[in-house]
Amino acid sequence: MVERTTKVCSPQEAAALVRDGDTIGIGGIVSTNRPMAVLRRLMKERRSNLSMITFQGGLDIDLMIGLDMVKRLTVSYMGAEALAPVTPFYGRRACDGTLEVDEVDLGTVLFMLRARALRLPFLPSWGPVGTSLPKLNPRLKVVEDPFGGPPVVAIPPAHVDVAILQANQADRYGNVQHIGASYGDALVAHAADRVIVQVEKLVSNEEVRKSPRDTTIYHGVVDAVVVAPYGSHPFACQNYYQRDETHLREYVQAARALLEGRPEEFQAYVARYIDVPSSIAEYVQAVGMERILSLAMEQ
Amino acid sequence: MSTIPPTPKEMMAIFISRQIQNDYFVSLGANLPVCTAGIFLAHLTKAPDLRIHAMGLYLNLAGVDRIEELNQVSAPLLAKYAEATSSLEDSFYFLARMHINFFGAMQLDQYGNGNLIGIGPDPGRLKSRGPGCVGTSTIGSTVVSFYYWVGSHTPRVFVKQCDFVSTVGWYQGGDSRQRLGLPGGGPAYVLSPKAVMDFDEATKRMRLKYLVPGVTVDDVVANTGFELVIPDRVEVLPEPTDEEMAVLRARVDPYGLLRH
Repeated sequence: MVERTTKVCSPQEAAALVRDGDTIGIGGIVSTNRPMAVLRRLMKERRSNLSMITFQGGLDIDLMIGLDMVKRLTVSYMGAEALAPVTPFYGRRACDGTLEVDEVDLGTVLFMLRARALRLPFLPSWGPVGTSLPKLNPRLKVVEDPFGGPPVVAIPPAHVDVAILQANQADRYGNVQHIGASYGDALVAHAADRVIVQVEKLVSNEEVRKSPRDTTIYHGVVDAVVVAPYGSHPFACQNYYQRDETHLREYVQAARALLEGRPEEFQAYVARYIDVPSSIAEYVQAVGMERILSLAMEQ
Repeated sequence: MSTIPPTPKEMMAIFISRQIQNDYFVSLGANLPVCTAGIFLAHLTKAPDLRIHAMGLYLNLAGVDRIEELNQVSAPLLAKYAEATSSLEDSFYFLARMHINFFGAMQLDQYGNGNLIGIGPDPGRLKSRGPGCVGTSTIGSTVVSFYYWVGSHTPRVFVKQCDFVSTVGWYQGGDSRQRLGLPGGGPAYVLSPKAVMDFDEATKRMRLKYLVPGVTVDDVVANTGFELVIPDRVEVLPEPTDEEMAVLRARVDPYGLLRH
């Protein structure tokens, strides 16, 4: 009897799909559906020289910048809305020349990933026309419209080595279901060579088959499924839990203190949440069960 | 009517609400609670069919008692009001039919070109890094109209020339935006804590439209780094109605984000 391949693995095993120097595509948006369980594993291992691409990033990638893991960043927004108009480490490193920034807007990122997924040399766009983007980002080229209209901007494909995404549920074969919006997660998956999805819970294949229309990412493009309850914490997971605003404020404060020459708070943060916990359960314990459960959303 | 007079932020939310019609399609922007409040105020008071997009969610909150989240449009508290969702890619299919989108800016020039990239001049050594273009370049190129909200009205925000342009407004004025070929309708209003500005129909230069009560023309002129078009008669923003103030404070902004 032949059996289907099971893709369930631990954060450690998933992290092994990432090599130093890779380009990583992150799913979710700003403070929702961020794949923190897998990212924390990469942080624990202090991976280096990574290029990151995401639609609208936030404090997740900021922390990786603070740990000197990120070489280059392609992102249209790096803030946490009211919590931080610009994330702390990004605000510093994008100015002092130690972080390469591909200046893009959301449409640019979408077109870069779409061009890669379709294996196209470029996609034409109005978005950067008339802006500073073609001057700041040499990969964006103003080109003639072969049909005789005004010039447009050619947006090249983004090569993504590994997509790391967070969703509500998947089966063991890698059929992924978001409950709510799926943002650009499927597009990141289509643009990537390898795909890791972390989910709040594992469901049976029968459950998935009951509503195949709810499958947002087909297992055919998924390599690894990491089961990580509360895996987006301190960010939100749609319909499951809200962002942990207290925790995020603590992070912003610790990061700003480090930038002002007082490293103790940040070192304590990294030790407590990144370096010491050796499992998802230990992370949840570090945050505290009471805090975690207080974030639950009305179902 | 409440005894506490309306704040400039509340006045701007009410101005936005008054521009919105029931058959409009609008989109919430990141970190713009004043604009989000204006949209929800219109929705709860007069526009139950308003089509509201937020990061791939399509919301209807008609009849909702209280809005629990103005601060973070990326937060899932709004997700329970979604009637439909789409991927971010698919949300771009709606741009050409979206009536109003809302943008922030670190700098704005007289033609309503905006900068969210940073303060220069050297792009490799920015003095201050902005949050990034967000969606404003592509969205601003295509939507029917967009408004800017800026949290302070100073010569550092309203500048002769932006250090970088993330959002094309009326480009170099006149018909220059049209000649670029951009399909969208361009910027309609700029809102600050001091005033509402629009754009001269022919030159596309920014024009003072309404003053916040208590603010003078001289105050606005002195705090604008370029020459604003000042019409012969500048009006003060019309007073909010009792209903607008009551709904805004009790249901749209119960936590008082716009009150200080």
